Amino acid sequence: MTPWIQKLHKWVGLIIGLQFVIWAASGLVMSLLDTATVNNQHHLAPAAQALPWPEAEISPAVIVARESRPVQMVETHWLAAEPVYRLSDGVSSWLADIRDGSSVPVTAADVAAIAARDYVGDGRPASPELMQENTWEVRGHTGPIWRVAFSDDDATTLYVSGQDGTILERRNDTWRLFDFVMMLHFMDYTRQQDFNNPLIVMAGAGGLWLALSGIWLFFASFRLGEFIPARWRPRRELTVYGADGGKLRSVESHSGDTVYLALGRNGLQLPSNCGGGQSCGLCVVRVRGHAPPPSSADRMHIDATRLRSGYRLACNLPVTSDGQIEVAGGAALWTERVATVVSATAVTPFLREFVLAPEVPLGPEFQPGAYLQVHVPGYRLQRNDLDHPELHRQDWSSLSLPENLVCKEPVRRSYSLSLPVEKAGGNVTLLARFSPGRQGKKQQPAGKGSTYLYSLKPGDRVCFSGPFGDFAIKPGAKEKVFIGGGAGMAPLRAMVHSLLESGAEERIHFWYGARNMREAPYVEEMEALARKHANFTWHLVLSEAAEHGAGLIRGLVHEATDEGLLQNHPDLKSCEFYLCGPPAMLAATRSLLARLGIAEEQVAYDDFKI
Amino acid sequence: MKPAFWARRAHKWIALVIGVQALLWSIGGLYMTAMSIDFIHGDHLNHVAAEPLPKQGDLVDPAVIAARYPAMNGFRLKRLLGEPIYEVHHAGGVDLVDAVTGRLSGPIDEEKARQLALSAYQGDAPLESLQLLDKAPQEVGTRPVPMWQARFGDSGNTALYFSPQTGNLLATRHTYWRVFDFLWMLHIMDYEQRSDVNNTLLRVAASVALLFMLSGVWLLFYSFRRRSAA
Ligand SMILES: Cc1cc2nc3c(=O)[nH]c(=O)nc-3n(C[C@H](O)[C@H](O)[C@H](O)COP(=O)(O)OP(=O)(O)OC[C@H]3O[C@@H](n4cnc5c(N)ncnc54)[C@H](O)[C@@H]3O)c2cc1C
Ligand code: FES
Repeated sequence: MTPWIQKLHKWVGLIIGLQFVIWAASGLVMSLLDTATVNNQHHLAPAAQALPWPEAEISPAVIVARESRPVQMVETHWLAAEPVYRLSDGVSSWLADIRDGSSVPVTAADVAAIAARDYVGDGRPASPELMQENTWEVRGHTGPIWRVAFSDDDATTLYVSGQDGTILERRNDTWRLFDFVMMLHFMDYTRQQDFNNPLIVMAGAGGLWLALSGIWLFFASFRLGEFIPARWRPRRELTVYGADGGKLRSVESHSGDTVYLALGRNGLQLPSNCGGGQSCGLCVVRVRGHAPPPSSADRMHIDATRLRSGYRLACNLPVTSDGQIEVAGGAALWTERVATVVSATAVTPFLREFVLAPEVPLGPEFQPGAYLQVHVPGYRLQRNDLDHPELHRQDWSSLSLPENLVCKEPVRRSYSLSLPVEKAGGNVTLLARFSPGRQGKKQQPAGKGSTYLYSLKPGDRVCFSGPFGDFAIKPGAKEKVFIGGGAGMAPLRAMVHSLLESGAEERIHFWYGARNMREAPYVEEMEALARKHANFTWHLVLSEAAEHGAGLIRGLVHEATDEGLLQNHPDLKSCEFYLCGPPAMLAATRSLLARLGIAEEQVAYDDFKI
Repeated sequence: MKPAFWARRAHKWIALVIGVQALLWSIGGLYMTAMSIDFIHGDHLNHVAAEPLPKQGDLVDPAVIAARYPAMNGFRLKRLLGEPIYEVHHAGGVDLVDAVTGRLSGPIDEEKARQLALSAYQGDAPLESLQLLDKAPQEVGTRPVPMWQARFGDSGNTALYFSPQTGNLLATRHTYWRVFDFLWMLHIMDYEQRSDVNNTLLRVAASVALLFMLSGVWLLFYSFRRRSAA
């Protein structure tokens, strides 16, 4: 339920969000504007003593009898200083002389006197002006109206009825501001002072929805624990198992923390690129026993089968009671390994191979498909600390990189093994793409992890933990199709090497997409492998290629694979697929495979999320 | 941390402070705008349109009344329950004088009040109680006392209030009005007078609400942004 409430909250917010700001702001302004000032009380003279009524010469009954209009009421009234009768038919009113009953007009002189008597302050009145047309400052009144403007700082304006000389309204600039703000508050842009207009009722309904759904989301997203310091919360014990079922360790945590936080406090740093922000999807753990219902973040990163078996994002998983969780990577999570940089080779302008010699030999768990988490320390680098060979100078000079490259806090970034460890003489081989950040108008800083890697020189020390991940070659000798792009070369290359090295005999296809020849890594290496192993074929697909010569295919890699292999394949059901590359390529390829009726179990992929 | 993170955090924490009040504002706002204000005022429940004064017939001359009230500073000739009557304003207050006989005719006694209530009331429920009140109930707190309260047994618990001095209808109250008034009290956060929109509590709450709305708008920028594919 929460995800769609969230979605609707967001959309309704989008539609009337601005109105919400206006309601709050206008409400605030109205509460700040002093009501007495708005009503011009500070320019209102104190009420005069009631004068005794003089004896009239004509009885009101006589006037009523004489009037052609029906009269509902006759009352005594003072027009400026002159006693008159005021008659009313319920809708309008008029004045009659108390001596002869003749009608009494409201003159400019009367109005000036009335206004002067009503006003205190240092403004001077302008001469009264009979309005041709009634403005919104006197809406709600009908009939002729006189206007008297005063020359004070508040721009006081009095409105006097042309029917009976009563003061109808006392306006000033504070009132005008208040009225404008009220118009915004009531969404009554025709200024009829009508807060029953359909627009505001609709917005109000949206507003109520926003408030109700907001309260729901509030309770859904706040954990009680967040309000209480960790040490006041009850302690819980979290038992951590490896993926193989072996118990790794018990850690103490506090109720209300997330599993990610609890493990982190105990030195067990789960893989993460987002630091617990529920957006990288790397911190997946499995809950043993009863897992809480998956949240929308869980559903975004974990497929339905794995959700059913209890996989959740640790950074979205609250610790509520003692519990048991399984983490992939097992003991590797605790160990920090140290390695020395052996070499850093620019394979293409923005793909660089790093060979790292670990201090302690690596175990057999470092398999192709696995990735490491490189511990990126805080750093401050100069732009020319990033070295690059002469022939890539142009590519680099077209980037707009800032003079200083800074990483304030240590972070961790994931990089896949790009060659089997045995094949690399016990070393770790990584292939890292440089993230230049968003270029152009809205610049974004270069990637923290890749900048760090690109500053490494032989002899430097690097820390990492791992291996992690469940991207791996499946046992069995099914026909294999590798489809990749960009830095996705790394794990696929390791897998291909590992297979061929171990003497695999099944057919192995590798389709790799790059923009152009310059950006394609390891082309010669792959061509050599294809010459050497009859069961391995290599297809380079170039999306930009002007130079697509012999053996080069032009287009997008998934489309090329479809045309060149999948469409005419006799038995796709018996193939296995290994995908790795940029998100768009990955998504397009996965939907292509799904369209071809290939089951999810046949497809393994690694998502770098960049 | 990403700005999106702070936006979400800000929105959430400010919600903790102002959330309930924001809900009350929304509920009140919707009710007050969705209900026609004429209905809330109870225009459908009372009938006050007076007939015009008679054009014939002898009426007492005001001079006669003025003689009786030396400190008279004005009067009003109107109809009350069909009869022409003078509402005399003098230093001591207001009196009603029968415009035909010249006799003192006020203040409104129980029998008159009953007639007034029945003639004004537009519903079809019986008059349930009629009381002369010396202390104004909250719902007519701004009106002068004493006053006649006529309560009817309809579904809205209609109450009409009349002035014993003038016989005028002072107010019409019914359930929807009471709800409106209650929500208005919550809306402006003046829990005593229900009228002071300049109170400090409201000013503070409105400031926080503004921050709250702005944080929401800030968050919107991120909520609709797709993760950029590099
Ligand atoms: C399982 C796995 C395996 C991986 N294997 C490899 C691999 O073998 N080779 C490889 O090259 N990569 C690999 N990656 C990707 C790698 O982990 C990093 O994500 C990648 O190197 C970018 O990290 P970074 O620190 O350089 O950039 P980050 O600092 O994480 O930034 C990422 C991008 O966001 C932009 N950005 C930075 N700050 C902001 C901001 N405030 N607002 C908006 N955008 C911003 C940056 O400019 C950059 O383009 C793998 C990822 C995963 C999950
Ligand atoms: S840490 Fe990134 S999703 Fe959990």
